[in-house]
Amino acid sequence: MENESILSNQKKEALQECAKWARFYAIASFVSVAINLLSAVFSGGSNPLGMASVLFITVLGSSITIASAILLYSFHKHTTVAIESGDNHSMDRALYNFRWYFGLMGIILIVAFSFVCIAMFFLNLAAA
Amino acid sequence: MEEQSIFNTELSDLSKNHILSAAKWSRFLGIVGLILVVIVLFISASMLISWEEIIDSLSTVASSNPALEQLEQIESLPKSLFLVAVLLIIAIIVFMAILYLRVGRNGVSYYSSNEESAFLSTFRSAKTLFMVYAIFTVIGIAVSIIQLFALL
Repeated sequence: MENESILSNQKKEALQECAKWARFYAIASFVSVAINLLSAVFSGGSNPLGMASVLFITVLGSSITIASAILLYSFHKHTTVAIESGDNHSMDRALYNFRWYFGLMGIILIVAFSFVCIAMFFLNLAAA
Repeated sequence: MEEQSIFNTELSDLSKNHILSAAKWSRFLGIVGLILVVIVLFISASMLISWEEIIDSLSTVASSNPALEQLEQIESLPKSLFLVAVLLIIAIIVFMAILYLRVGRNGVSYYSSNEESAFLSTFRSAKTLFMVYAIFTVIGIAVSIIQLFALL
């Protein structure tokens, strides 16, 4: 019985540690987005087209970063509630966010690879 | 009657399904990471083979476009520095890919066997992943702040 309790504590500890670092990463991501947006505004220069393209790329990157940071922050929030109250529903929600963080990364990777393949195809076509 | 903690019992089927799904995505990310390593190796090898030609073409581009004159500094870049940078990038990608694969393998193993050690390994690997990403993000923030001050 005592052994079971120790193992349960290990489970809690592993989840808590993971959630803690997820929160830290999420907060760092939010700060990074804010600084990148500021840099984009200041580095655009006088050329409106250049500024628009820099802003577009930054906003696109920032949206992805914010989405992943929200998922990680929610993972931390629900994990904390689940650990404190022993609520199974909160655990489900925490792991739902954990799952979709990895899902989002996978989908972004597929989209990015598709764009690279399309670009390479057109470059080869142009070279030929 | 005292409510029993979820950690003294098994997780719900829904939670286990979430872990399985996360594990599958993680395994996919790990495999793509390893494929990326092969691509980086291939590109780096081709760059090293035709190093002189690349330097010459970059110098030509830099001399014809004043906005890119910083590219001329590449001429003085030693081959060994490039090699070290490539090896560092490869090492980081391999490390991350292994972590993703570990989350994947242990997550699937936890779903099928319900072993506590698999659960622990899944979340410990995920913790290391978040920790590494957080460290890189903090380094990125520091670099961005320096660049921002340079712009202002």
